[in-house]
Amino acid sequence: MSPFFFFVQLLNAVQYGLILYLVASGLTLLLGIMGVINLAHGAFYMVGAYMAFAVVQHLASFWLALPLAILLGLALGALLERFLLSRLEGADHLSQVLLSFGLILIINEGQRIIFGNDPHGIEVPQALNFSIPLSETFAYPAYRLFVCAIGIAFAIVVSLVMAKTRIGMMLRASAENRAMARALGVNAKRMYLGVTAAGIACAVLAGVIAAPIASVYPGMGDQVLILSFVVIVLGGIGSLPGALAGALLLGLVDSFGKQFFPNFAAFLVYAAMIAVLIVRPQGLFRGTGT
Amino acid sequence: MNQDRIDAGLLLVLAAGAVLVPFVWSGYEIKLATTITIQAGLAVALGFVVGPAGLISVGHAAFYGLAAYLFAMTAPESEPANVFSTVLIAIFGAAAFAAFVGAVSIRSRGLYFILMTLAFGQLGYHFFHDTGIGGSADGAYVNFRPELHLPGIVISLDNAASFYQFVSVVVLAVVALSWWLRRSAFGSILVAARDNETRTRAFGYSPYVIRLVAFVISGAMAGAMGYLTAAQHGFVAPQMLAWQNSATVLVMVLIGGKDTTSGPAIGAILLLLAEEILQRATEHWLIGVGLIVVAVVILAPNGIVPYLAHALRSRRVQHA
Repeated sequence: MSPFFFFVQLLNAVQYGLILYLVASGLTLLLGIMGVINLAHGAFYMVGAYMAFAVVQHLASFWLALPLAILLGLALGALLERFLLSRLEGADHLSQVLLSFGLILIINEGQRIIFGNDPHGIEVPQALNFSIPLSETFAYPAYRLFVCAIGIAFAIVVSLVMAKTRIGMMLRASAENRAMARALGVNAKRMYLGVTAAGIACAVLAGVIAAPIASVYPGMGDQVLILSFVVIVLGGIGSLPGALAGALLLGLVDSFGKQFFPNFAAFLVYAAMIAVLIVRPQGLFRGTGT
Repeated sequence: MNQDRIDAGLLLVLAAGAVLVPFVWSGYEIKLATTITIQAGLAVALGFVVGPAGLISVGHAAFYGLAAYLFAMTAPESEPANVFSTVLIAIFGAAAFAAFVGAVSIRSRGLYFILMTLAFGQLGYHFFHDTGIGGSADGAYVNFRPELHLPGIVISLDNAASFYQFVSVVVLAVVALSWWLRRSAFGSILVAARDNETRTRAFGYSPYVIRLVAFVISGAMAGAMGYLTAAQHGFVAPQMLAWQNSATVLVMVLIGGKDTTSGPAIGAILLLLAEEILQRATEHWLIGVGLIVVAVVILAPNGIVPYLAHALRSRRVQHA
């Protein structure tokens, strides 16, 4: 096996892992800070992918979809928190599970009403529609490298915000001990609104970015949702560095699993998670638990 | 009125309804009633661990589906199977798998437990989907409905009405067992362990062991329902084990109310009836189901049965 083959798989793993991280970071914040298990997170990812499809079709520009995705995600997240989640504060966590399950059905069916059942493909944007040669036989598509770059930039920005800013400090405090953070003057209402809006925006954005790589099809959020949960459980609930590590690990298992055991890649992902949880019932990194 | 009495009252109403079905309905309706009754039994089985034990399993479809596959694999090809021998294998297999999954998963709490059960469920799904055992993605067929071998008489279940009666007897037994367990000392210890683990331990009980026992009982009951489904349709497929199936049953449990025995059954009946009615009205019926689920969560976050009990209680207080 050539080292370039190995390198290409490694790049695939990193790129896939970074997309998962984009989705899982919102999910883990919602869970760590608000105690909300948002099953509809994958559905918002799908919303992003379909938005990219619609924007490319009608406005003929992929790049426009990126800022629009962030705006749409922020708006959807704010509406979700303001009109649904805030009503369930203090209720059993399971009622949020139920609520988000209902949202999945509504979003999935809404997608079928608007776009129908056919899968769609999206062209890679013209500017990045070329490959970078690695050797005489191996080349790597530029768009995938662009995805890696966005993912890395996102990870750096997030970790700087978390480590250096006041907001990051408040978020870390809330993930560590919700009641204590509130007692120390963290405005829970505003924080919840911000976290939900930002978390959903990440999911929608991830959907847009992934659209040219994966095809756009009904129910595409299901798989991503489950894998994102695997990611945050591997990394420890509420921990963003943990989510990054978990996402990259999952990217590796998936990418190399598909090459070496094509029939058992899905099997391996779940087996890996069970193995980690048997050895470390609270995830690889110290989580806050819920 | 007290929630326990409402619960018992609703169970009696449901049981009476189940007995009346074959007198009122036939043909398609009785097949629908059979499906709903089995799903109600599955929801009651899951409700028993979600409610008193506080174990939110998203892997119960695996026990349900495994039992169905065990039946499909052990049923003879050219003659009807004997209910008693095949059902025992199916239930025992589901219980054994539940014991294994529970033994490993119950050490984890909260979301970690949820995802542990989900992962085991998906392992089960991929086992039947990817390995070629049990016909891969195509599933497997059961050629004959099983027969009931009673002393001196063999009862065929080929007829839709007789199969429905058989199903309702099994499901009523599951519901009765769940109701009795919830009210027994065992049920009280489960609730105690859910609400305060430290104190329960101080009383000398092991929360781990009693939760595991509850999980195995629930898994066995789910297995019985899987057996019934395989016998009803004569067909099993990997989708029976998939997490979407587990999640749907969990939704039934939560809509009806996990802290009662009748709640999960009522959740299953309402959800499946709503599906049936909406399906006739529109192709996009799922959006209707989604709206119903969201409305129930906002209006009755603890479920329909506790909501009813609460409404009746406050009316009584006003009258007094």
